[in-house]
Amino acid sequence: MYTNFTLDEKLQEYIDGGLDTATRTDLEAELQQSKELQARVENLRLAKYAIQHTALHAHVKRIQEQYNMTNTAKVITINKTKSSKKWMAYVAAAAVAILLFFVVHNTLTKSAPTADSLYAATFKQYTISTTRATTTPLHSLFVAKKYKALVTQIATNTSPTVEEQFLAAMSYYELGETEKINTLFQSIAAYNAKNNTILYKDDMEYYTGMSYLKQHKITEALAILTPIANNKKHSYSDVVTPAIIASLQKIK
Amino acid sequence: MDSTQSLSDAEIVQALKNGGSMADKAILALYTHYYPYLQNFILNNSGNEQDAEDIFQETVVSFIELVKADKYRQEASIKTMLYTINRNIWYTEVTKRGNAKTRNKLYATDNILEDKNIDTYISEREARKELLQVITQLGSQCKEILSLYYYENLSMKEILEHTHFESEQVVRNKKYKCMKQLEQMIQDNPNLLTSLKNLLPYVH
Repeated sequence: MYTNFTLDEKLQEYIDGGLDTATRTDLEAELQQSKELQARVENLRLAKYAIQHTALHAHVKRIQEQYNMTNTAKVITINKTKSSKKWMAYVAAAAVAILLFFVVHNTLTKSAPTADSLYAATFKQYTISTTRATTTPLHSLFVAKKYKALVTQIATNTSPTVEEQFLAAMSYYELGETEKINTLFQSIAAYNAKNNTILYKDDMEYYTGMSYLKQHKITEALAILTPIANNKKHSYSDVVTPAIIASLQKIK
Repeated sequence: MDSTQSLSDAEIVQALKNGGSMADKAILALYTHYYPYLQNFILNNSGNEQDAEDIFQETVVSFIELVKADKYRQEASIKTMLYTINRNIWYTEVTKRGNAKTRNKLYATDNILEDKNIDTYISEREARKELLQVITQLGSQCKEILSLYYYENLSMKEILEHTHFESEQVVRNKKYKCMKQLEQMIQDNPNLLTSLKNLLPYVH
């Protein structure tokens, strides 16, 4: 099987442990006599190491992203829990006041909500967690609202991270380039499916729905925003409320 | 995340050696158990959050390579190993940045574990960084095939299922050519080659 091997192939099979005993023994005898061959075997082992090191680096980076996402979510949850009791009474009072205001306002004006007014009432601009906001140049560009500069910079990267893809998508959102948002969201969704992760899942659902609403595509917006309003655990269920969905259904 | 809470040091080491989905859990356990602690170390020694993240990532990669090369025999705990690697990498980084004050402060801190393997490994840090750059020059198809073969340990048949080649033989030929190309790229960089030779004991 190995008799037709070129020397290159034979050396590679040797470092891969793929040679049969006789061929390996012959090659090892040759290696003892030839410093040139020894150097080639060393170089091949280093090439193998280079691949393993690079792949391991990418692997750890992927888990780090997963850890960061989970950790950020936890911090937000903890902060919400800590402050929730303190603010519960204020929120309840404010809610009653707002409800009264809307009842009175609607009664007086009889004005019907529009897609634009519902969009304005529901839209929440994406913000980077304050503890990480200035950690990379890309974060700084996003915070400074330099969206074109950000997407230009990411475009030069042949293998952007999930976070970079998401920041690019949010920049395109701000720039109104819908098609590019969809492409990037599809790429992140594919990554999630492949790696069994849920990176930016809630954000992508919300901004896809909002993108439809912005374009007055009410049916498509409802299809995505309704499950958000019905899921109290969704990160955006505080802004996409059943009342908003009811209003959207009225103007459909 | 919960499943990472119960992994012992021995289980983490075994999982890292075995690879696969258990390795994912083990790496996540390293982050969950030790990242906050080592992040504080960097933040208390003139680093920022991005430094802490980058240095810990490098620490985890280093630790895994030491484990896979059987250079970690569990005489010290994982926590002690990670602390030592993290501290020493940060020491070389602040030295490179010319931050003498922090370097002196770090020098005075207790280097808990004196380990020749860690010292030798970290001394070739720049060579490994350069290696990552060399790989970027390799075509994406080559990177994919070689990673699947040498990192994921997939057979030619399994690689065929992941790619769009016509047959196992085509995949095998492509792998040979890609390795030859990479070997040449390393060969063409004599300084890198010299540094990398010090890493041969860590190649498994």
